[in-house]
Amino acid sequence: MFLYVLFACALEGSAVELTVEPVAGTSPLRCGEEAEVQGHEVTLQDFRWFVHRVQVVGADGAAHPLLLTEDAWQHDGIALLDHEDGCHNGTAATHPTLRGTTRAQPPYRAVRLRVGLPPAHNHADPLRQAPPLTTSAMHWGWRQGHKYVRFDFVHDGVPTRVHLGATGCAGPMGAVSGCTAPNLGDLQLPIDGTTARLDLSEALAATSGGCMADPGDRSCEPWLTAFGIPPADLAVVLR
Amino acid sequence: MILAMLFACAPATWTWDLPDGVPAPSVPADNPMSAAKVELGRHLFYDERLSVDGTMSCASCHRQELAFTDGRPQGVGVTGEVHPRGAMSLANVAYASTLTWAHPDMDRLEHQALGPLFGDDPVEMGLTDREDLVTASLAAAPASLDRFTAAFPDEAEPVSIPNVVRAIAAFERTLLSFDSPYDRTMRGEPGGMSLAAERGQALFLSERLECFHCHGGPTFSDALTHERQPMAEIAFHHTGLYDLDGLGTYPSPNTGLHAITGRPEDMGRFRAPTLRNVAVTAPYMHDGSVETLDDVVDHYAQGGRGGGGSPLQSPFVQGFVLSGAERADLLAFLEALTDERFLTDPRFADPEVAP
Repeated sequence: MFLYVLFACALEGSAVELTVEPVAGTSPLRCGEEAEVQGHEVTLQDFRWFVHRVQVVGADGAAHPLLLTEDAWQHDGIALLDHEDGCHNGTAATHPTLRGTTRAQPPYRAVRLRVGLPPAHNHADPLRQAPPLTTSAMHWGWRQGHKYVRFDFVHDGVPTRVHLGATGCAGPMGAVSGCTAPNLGDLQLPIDGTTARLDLSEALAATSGGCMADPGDRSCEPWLTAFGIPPADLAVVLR
Repeated sequence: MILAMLFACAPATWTWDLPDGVPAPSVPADNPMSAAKVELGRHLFYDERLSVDGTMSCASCHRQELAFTDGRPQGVGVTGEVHPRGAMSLANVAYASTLTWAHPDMDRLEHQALGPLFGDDPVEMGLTDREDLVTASLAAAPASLDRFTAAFPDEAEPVSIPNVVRAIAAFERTLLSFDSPYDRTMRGEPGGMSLAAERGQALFLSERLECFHCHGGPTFSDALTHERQPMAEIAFHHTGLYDLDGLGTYPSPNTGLHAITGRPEDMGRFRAPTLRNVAVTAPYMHDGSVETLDDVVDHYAQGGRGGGGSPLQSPFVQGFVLSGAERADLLAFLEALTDERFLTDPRFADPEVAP
């Protein structure tokens, strides 16, 4: 019995719930609330994003997996982070949290995320997926998958949409063979207590328009960078 | 008794209403046809609850009397947002190897239907984030719930978004148009083409005009699949409708296949739409920028109104000279592809009007 408990703990670690908070510098970005970002007026309208391969950097500086609990927001190691409350369109429900177990020891220093979906989940038959992959706002049928990031905002009075995901994908849904721009990002967000912050001030200050991750769309640059998308993909989108 | 049981247990087989010689469409194995599913799909196709403000159904942009197009150059969604492209005809859509104007991999009606329902760029029916409200509303109406239960009898919760699009796809696969004067001439039946249309057919099939290379086969489109041709033919063509720079560039966002693949050589490549019922599907081309069939003939006669010099342009769009009489014959042939029975068949009509 004792051995079993020890084994279970060693395997799964302790329960943790992290809050992910989008910010611009020191100001939180909240749905429907105007924020001043380096001289620009920014009002968030929608922010939802998929993450997976979640790791927590513990007190010893080592990264340990965060094994996500299965629920309507988290499935197969994937989480949908939802920072909008229906202030514009969207839904009332929010989910700015990552819940699971980790062997990392507090105080936690950072959380590491891969932004987006594993290819098998991204391109699976949309009629056969489980929540949160059923969220219609994240469907991206004409790209044979899902949006990884849906970030809609008003920037100095101009409604602007940033929808990131894999582009240039070949093959029908359920049988995609690859994408010229996978657009998977890697982020490490610092943690204060149990709150991790994603600072989007640089992208919001530099933005020159929306981005649908279309090949050749130069206005995508600050957004791909903000979500940790690697230079190789950047080169495809910005070429 | 045993026979009766056998009959009751065997899955109801679906019979296509097709003339001899026309191959049956391919149907995805996970969405078999059934009369109950088609009937549910017909109701859903005409159901305005499938739009965010209850003002639009699929039929708003796909009107039967216009061969399931809408007469507009480009589609208009619930918010008034104009789609960059026009609503395509659904005649014989079950045979289309790829769907929409230009997508190499959109190969299932079930998946395509999610676009107009839930898409937000542009907004069409505007159901983004409203999936639970829609299914609740469909499940709350007893007649609607009964239709879902009949169509998906093995499912505990038959009212779901996947089943909505499965049923709509099953209905769309029944939209078969093979009874035009052209078809009746081909079958040796009465009510066939005029002599002018027959002369026009010869022009259509000629190497001088080259129409049939892209608009060939039973659907008059080379993007074709059916049960005897499971390896789908997939094709896209640059017809020289635009050429902004001598390199064949089309105006954004309508860059065709290029918008999906990002490959420069895919610029301006679009799928050849069916020509069945083409006389009632004006205006023409992906952006509705050509008003009449006569103008379409002008475009091809010029070898592409965009100028014709681009290296991307289809070698079949070379231009040709037609006499006035030949032009009238060609138009008569295109008009002979109109299937009046298809445009008025009560099986395809709004169940409120034609129960």
